Amino acid sequence: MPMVTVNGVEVEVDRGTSILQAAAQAGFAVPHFCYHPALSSPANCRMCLVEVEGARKLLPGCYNEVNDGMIVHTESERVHHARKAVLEFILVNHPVDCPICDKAGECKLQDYYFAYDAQESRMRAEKQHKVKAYPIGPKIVYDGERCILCTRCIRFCEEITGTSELTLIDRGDKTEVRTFPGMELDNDYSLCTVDVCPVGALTSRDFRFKCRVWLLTSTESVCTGCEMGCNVHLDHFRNEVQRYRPRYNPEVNDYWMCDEGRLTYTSIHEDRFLQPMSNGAEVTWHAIGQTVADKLGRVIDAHGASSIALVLSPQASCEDLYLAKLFHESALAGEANLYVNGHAPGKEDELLMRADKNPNRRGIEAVWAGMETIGSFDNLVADLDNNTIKAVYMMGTELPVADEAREAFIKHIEELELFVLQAMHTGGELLEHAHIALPACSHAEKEGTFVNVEGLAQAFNQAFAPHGDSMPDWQIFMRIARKMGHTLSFTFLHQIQEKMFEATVLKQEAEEKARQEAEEKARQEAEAKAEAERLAAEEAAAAEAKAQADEASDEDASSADDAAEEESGDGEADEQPPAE
Amino acid sequence: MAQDFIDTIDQDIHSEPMILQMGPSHPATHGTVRFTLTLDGETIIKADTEVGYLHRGFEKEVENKTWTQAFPYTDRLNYVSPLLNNFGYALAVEKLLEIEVPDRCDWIRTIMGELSRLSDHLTCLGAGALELNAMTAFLYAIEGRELVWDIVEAVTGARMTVSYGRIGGVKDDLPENFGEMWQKARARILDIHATTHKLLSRNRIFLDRMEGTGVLTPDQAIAWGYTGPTLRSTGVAYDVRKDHPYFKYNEVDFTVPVGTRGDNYDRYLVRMEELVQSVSIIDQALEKMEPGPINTDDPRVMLPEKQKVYNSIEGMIAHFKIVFEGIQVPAGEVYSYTEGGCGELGFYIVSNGTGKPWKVHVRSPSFIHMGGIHKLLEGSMISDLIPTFDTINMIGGECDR
Repeated sequence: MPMVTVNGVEVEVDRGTSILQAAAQAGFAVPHFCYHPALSSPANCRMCLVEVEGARKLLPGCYNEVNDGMIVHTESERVHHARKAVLEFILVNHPVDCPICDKAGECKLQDYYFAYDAQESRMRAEKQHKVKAYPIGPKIVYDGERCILCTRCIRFCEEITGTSELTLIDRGDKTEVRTFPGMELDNDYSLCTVDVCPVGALTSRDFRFKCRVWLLTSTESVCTGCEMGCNVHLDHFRNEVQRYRPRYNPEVNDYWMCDEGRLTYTSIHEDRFLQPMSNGAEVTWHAIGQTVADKLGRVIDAHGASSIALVLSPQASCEDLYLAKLFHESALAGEANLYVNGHAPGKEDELLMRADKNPNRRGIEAVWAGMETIGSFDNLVADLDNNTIKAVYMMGTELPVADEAREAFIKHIEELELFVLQAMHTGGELLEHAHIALPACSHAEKEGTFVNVEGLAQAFNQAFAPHGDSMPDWQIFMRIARKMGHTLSFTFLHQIQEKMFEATVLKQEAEEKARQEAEEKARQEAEAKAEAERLAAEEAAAAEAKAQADEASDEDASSADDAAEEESGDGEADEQPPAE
Repeated sequence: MAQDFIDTIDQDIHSEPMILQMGPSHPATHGTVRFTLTLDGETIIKADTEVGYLHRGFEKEVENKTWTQAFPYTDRLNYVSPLLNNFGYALAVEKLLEIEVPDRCDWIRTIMGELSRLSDHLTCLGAGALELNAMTAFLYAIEGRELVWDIVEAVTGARMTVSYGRIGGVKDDLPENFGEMWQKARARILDIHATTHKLLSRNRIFLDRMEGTGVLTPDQAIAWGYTGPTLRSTGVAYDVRKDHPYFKYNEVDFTVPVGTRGDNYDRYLVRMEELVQSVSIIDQALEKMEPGPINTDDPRVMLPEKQKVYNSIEGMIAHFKIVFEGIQVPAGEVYSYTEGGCGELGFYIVSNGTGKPWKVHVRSPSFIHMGGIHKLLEGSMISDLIPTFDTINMIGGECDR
């Protein structure tokens, strides 16, 4: 593998590594605008120019591959001079937009100017004016003056989404990014172009002028838009989520996320109810616990626990679901019927979007070790039709049905003896018909775990305290169970996390054991069979020998004794292992 | 020692020591501090000092501010001489940044620092006299301080909460008529100085209260880390300005007055002489300073001019980065010390290479003085507490931080 010396530090890198990456491995960051690790390198920004000994000119580090024995300088005077020149050139036509630019504060141009240039402008002519606030797509606004023409957005649309909407038009200092005629920048991942834009040329309409980025606090979280579980930075300000940004994870989402998922953060703050309610009246947690316990107790006394439906939400975390399981096993005597609700399936593609729009269906599977005991939403509707369900305890308001089917379901809910809703959203009529409503909090307000479609358990962190009186589902289940005389004692989340997948672990262990036993049995059977075959073969051989001996005795009587001895010796010979 | 007294008392006449709470808000102590005194008659046999009534969490507070935003908080350390705190902090950060400020800036800092020292000493002397019932001397001293503060106001825009220091410079140049203002104030301050000498220095009552009270030996003073006029009154000629010159103190001629006995009267006399020295330093500085830039030209430290901020993207970006992310101070730690109003004012600063301090510790002379003051009080009369506490010159804002 090639050995490279970067600023005096020797590193061994893979063949085909770019100088920029080799420098990074040696611990030297080379500034760059147009290079992006997931995209091709056009080397058009000239920011990553480095000095290579033996090369007459400075070389773009993102484009050139290393050779064995290459000696690179990334901080030499020539390089610094080149960087200054590049930045001065880029800034020639850059507008004085920082105060009104959403990128200010996380802008690479700002960072690099301050780090590498920091000199005054020598420009005395009027700046070139280009298009401002151009609606390049339904979700994105383009600013031609801010654009530094790095073509990252163009390459993203070509190489990642394959939709190729964008191109450069015109020449020289009139060049701008535009869509091809008749197209607009409207694909399922278009907001990623805002992330890859090193300056504020592409801005998200959703985030435009909403919040200055230096006010944001970033929490590592997971998108709840579908079961892919893309890793995100959850950026929030004053207890309100302002945006999601994809968080690099090569195992799940790489650098990207879909627009649909990115905009699901709004559900954290929309349509919430924040106070426990009993028949529509706001009450305290202190008061509502006993009410729920009494009402559930009456249903159990009258119809038995099997008349209760506990509807699980695939939007809830594994910790919440584990407590739901314990609640079901203790307070509902393990007899209540389990169902699952959740969003209806949606759009799917081969990149990141998955059809199941719920983040944790695999979590239910993991907590219950399979879906055998859990009915679908259709089963619930059928059981409601049959009138076998008298009470419904439902987590979450996401229903996989719409329009008439939904109305039919609501009608059933109206007729129930008891409907307990434990959710973060009002869900429209659902809250109106709830005899008891318990406010749960969103994933931004608690810690937890989601299991994604590939079975990867991913932790998400708490960004801020729960809104209003809402609390995590697992705590609600603990409260209600305690009022019903069943103490579920968990103080910390890690106590739950140690246990929540134990059903799956036990099942896997049992399967493993069964598999081993089956293997053992198969092995023994195979041995026994081989043994039997060998015995049969030997017997046959002995019989043949005897037959020959008999023939011989007929011919020579004196040898009969020997033959008899041989025969008695066969029993001992059986003990000996076969020759092979 | 205290126990010996108590034993003796118990044996001779059957009496008990009295516990007296003095402070935290006592009319004859300027400074919010509480003494729990154990008295045998009028003699203090034990003094417990309790500080912290003005604790604001300065050191923690500035960890959440950019390096520049810390200046208003330093104003409130020794609030009688806020400029000295400003410059002391600026000097520490500049040491870590390894930047030099222009000559004129150093001269301005020298002048404004000495003005602050005048204000500090005048306050201490005046208030001390007031607490010994010499109201007249107090009014003269405060008149002198007003003259100083008028100048401070003309230069910085505020009388106490000046926030005049900047990393790499100062907020503004001196006003054009600074020389005239100073000449007027200077004459009156020297007048006041002479009058105060006449009123107090050979005043029998004053001498009785001051001479031989609150005595400190040089060894004690050094052992307890005392600095400033308190240390110098014992005869130890340690002055940061002289021993470790900063700003322009090595280019001006001044003497470090010292006492001989380390009592309250010596501390009074040392401060009186330092007034004269400060006046002389300012005179020399005004003579020697020349026009020129007042701020460093490092674009990563100094904010660009507003003209450039609003009209060029380069200025705009520089402004943005310095204001929102703060000056990027390289990782490291530094202890920088200057001569404050009451002693060596040190800033111990740790940076983790970001725009905000990782840790700022203030070596505040008042706090250290409070650590040993009980030794000066024990064994003396209760009335001696008043001049002793005054000449030690504890400033609550600096002591409690």
